[in-house]
Amino acid sequence: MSFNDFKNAVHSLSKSKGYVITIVLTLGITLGALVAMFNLNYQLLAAPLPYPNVDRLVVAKSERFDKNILVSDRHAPYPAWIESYRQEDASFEQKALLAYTVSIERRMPDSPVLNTISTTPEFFNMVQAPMELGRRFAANEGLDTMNPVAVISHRAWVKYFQQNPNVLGKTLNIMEIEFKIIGVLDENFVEPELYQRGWQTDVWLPMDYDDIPVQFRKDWNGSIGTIFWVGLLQKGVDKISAEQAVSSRVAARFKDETITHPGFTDASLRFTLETFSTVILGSASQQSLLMLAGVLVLLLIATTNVLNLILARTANQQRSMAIQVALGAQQKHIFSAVLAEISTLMLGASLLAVLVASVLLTLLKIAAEGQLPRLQELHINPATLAFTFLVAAALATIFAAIVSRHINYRQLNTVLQTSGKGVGLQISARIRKLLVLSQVALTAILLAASFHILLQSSRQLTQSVGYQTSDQYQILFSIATLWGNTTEEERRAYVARVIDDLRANPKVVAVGATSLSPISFRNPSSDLLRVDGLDDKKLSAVQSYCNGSYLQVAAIPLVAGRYFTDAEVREHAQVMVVNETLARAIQADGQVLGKKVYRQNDEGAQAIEIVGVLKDLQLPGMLEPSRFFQAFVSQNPELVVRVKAGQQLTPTEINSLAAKTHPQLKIFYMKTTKQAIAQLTMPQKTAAGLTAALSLIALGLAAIGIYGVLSYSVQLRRFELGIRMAIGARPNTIFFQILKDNLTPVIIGLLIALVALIGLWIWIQQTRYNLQTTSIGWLLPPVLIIGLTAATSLLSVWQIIRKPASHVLRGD
Amino acid sequence: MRELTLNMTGITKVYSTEDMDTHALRGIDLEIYKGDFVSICGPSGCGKSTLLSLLGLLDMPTTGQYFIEGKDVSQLNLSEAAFIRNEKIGFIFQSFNLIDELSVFDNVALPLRYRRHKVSEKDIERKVLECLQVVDMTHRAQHKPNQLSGGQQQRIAIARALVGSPALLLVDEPTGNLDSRNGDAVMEMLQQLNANGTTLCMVTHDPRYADMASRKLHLLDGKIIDTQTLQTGETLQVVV
Repeated sequence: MSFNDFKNAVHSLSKSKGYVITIVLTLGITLGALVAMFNLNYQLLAAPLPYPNVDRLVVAKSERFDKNILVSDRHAPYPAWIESYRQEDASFEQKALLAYTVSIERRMPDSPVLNTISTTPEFFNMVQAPMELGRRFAANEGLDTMNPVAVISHRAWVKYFQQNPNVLGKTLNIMEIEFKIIGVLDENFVEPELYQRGWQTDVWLPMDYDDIPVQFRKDWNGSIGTIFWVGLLQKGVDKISAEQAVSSRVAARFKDETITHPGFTDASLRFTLETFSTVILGSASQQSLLMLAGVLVLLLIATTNVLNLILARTANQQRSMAIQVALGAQQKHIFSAVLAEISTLMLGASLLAVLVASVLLTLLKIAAEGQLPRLQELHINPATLAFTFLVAAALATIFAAIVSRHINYRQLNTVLQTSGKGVGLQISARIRKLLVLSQVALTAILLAASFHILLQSSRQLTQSVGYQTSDQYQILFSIATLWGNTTEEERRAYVARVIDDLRANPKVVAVGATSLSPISFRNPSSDLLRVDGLDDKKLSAVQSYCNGSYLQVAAIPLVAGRYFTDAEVREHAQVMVVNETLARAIQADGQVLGKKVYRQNDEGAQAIEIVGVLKDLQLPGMLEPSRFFQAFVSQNPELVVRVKAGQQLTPTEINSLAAKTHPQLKIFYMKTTKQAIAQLTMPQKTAAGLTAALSLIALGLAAIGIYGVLSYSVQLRRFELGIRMAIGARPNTIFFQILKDNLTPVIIGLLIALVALIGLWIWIQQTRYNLQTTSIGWLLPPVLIIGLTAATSLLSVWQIIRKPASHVLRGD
Repeated sequence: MRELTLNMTGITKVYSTEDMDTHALRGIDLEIYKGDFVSICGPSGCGKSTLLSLLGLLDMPTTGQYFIEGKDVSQLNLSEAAFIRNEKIGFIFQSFNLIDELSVFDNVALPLRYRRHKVSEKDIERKVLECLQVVDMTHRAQHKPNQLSGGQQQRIAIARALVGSPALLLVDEPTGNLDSRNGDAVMEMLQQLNANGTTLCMVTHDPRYADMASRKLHLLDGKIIDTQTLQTGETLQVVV
């Protein structure tokens, strides 16, 4: 290709603005989407984590077993975490602890809740955290030094200190302790998402200031899931051998410390080491690959559209090509001219694609926050640019190759010597049918897959969760500062007083207290239940403690029996209600009223009577686990407050109400139940939004593409249709004739899609992905595509059937 | 008294664009009786094809009245025009206008398949074969048009025009794309059809063929300037 070829291409294209805009927009948008998905997948699958020695960075995962039943995942007793950290170990260059929590800065206006990590100094060294100001933690700020210093994130520095360059030396008041700020992390520091996706720490404190209650600190029976133990393996040490050393010591210590506990006879603890990549990325690549596949299909549809347009343009250019041939142009000259024009188009499409990708990545960061890891690292980088231009170049070459195969160089020589009738270059009927067929097949596959995901997500979003959610607040107070200076009885009394004060509020209808709402800020924890008459069989179930008022407020429908009452809680009655799943696990027919169960973690091993069976909940995106609610109020329960319709509570109002009981009682979590559900359903909303967008774009592209091919076919058949009209075919006869002809490749395309979808469905059945098929999900795509074919057939033939036959025959 | 097949009164046709109006026909008065063989001659651009289009309801006149067998067809909508065309008019074009994708049989059968009232496949087959017999092309029924010579294609076009038993056969330069031998053969066939009672209206440049008609119209600048009644059409001595 010469410069002249490009100059001619630009000149020629400037006369076909509609053609250029259609191709650049179609390919620019779809290629942009592909680039964005490539970027995401590259980030999740190939891009190295931004830490030195990342292959040697590991995270300990603890698992607690009872016999062979996994009781808890990622939970371990506090002493197990600490001892594993302190233990001298030749396998590791460094080890560190991280304890995740949220804390309240009590002096700032509105007492902001800060995402907090208590850690040991080695952590920042392991990840080589860059600093904007000040320094990382030093050795004298490690475990047991009680040195109240703090490092803040760049985000917190901007948000709470307005980027004050003199922030070092200022203090944060957390848990009634003044922490001196010694460092501000650099803006480019990427925090490893070990705990929750999207978690962004505001404040880093020394490990001595974790907020784990005192009674857990030496308790080998307890279970803490918010602590992470990370290590940097020595060079040359493999993960397996390091893991065996760590795990065997922890397992032995756990056994020694729990052997006397009656509920722990068969209990064991195991540590396994996972790489940072495994923990951070998890199975996220499954979702991102699925999105990539969707966008690839979209690009294929767009490519088919563009190919049709390019072939049609080439057909229209045959005369100018013939003139060039007559003037001595060789085959390579014709090919160069075609390639130059296609390359110019691809260049325009690539530039638009980069812009589209940049916008999509920004949107993705917002829409998928907390659902996909490493989102904050996404940006257009050299790899992305290279990918964009590589794909564009590949497409240009493919298009040019197909077009050049279509141009019959020998025939071009004869074009000028004949009237051209009957020998003109055309897209053959076979290729036209193939274009429609492939477009229909791809669109149907994409639509069916998208509709199923969309319908499933919509169903989950709209279905009732199975308990009362309206006019309801979930409130949790921070009592971390009360641990040291109050007794458990005092703390219980504070909670009881706050509940009474809330009940006295005229806006409030009822107040319940529970350790765990079905949708809660807190992570659920499970316990093993032993049931009378089931021998040694133990059942794992999600545990909640609550009072009778909570059951009334939540109003989970009863299948059998009754709720327990506040009076029974006060009288320490040993009663519980269970959900249907647990009831069926205990006894197949679910008739469990009056049955006695025993808690694994309950030292007294008192029998607890089942007094009610609740209907299973339908929480979005999850299968309902076995669940029980026991009559008991913990010392820091979540308060569930039902207000009168239309009434609202504010954090300030609740804080001032709680301050009457104790000045250190402050809210650190307050949401309406609907807000909590909205947060939980973010993945479904994102999936619904993405698939809806994908479906619309696919349908739009298919409509343009199918119309393009059909309209071209009709143009080619214009004379034939004129003949039919001349001998008496009515307009609707012509339309139905065209529709019948067009439906043939459409039906074949739909059948191919059906076969592919059945294969896809069988494959999905073998994966862990839970996708329910529905008749509407299967039927809607073919109905839409056939409707689309009818509409595009009518549109393409409209210009012909609304004119007198003589105009059609004349080609007017 | 002779039966009137069609009559036109004051027919005009104007093609309008943004820039100008082109008057293709300027007040045509014409009567064609059953069994007539009318030829229309004139130089290029005189309005011959436009007149044929209006006669065949392929287009509608700008002004004037047009009756076919007593029915006013001056301003029909596209569907109504298609019905009349299908039942009353047969076309023979200069370039044959056969549909390449269809077999000879299906090309001939096409007008019957567009009938307002469905014609049974049995009747279609019978009529098509009859017509192919008339043009001596039965043995080519399953061929595709592009497997036939020009003369053969025009004979198929004649068969297609005849299959619906039209009241009027409109013929546009039937020999234009044929050599003289095939041209003569086609004309002989048309003469034979007329002799058997078919009403014909033919546009031609060739004065020899124009003289075969019973009436010859001369068109110039959109007007009929001369009507010549011929006693008997010249007969061609050609074996088809």
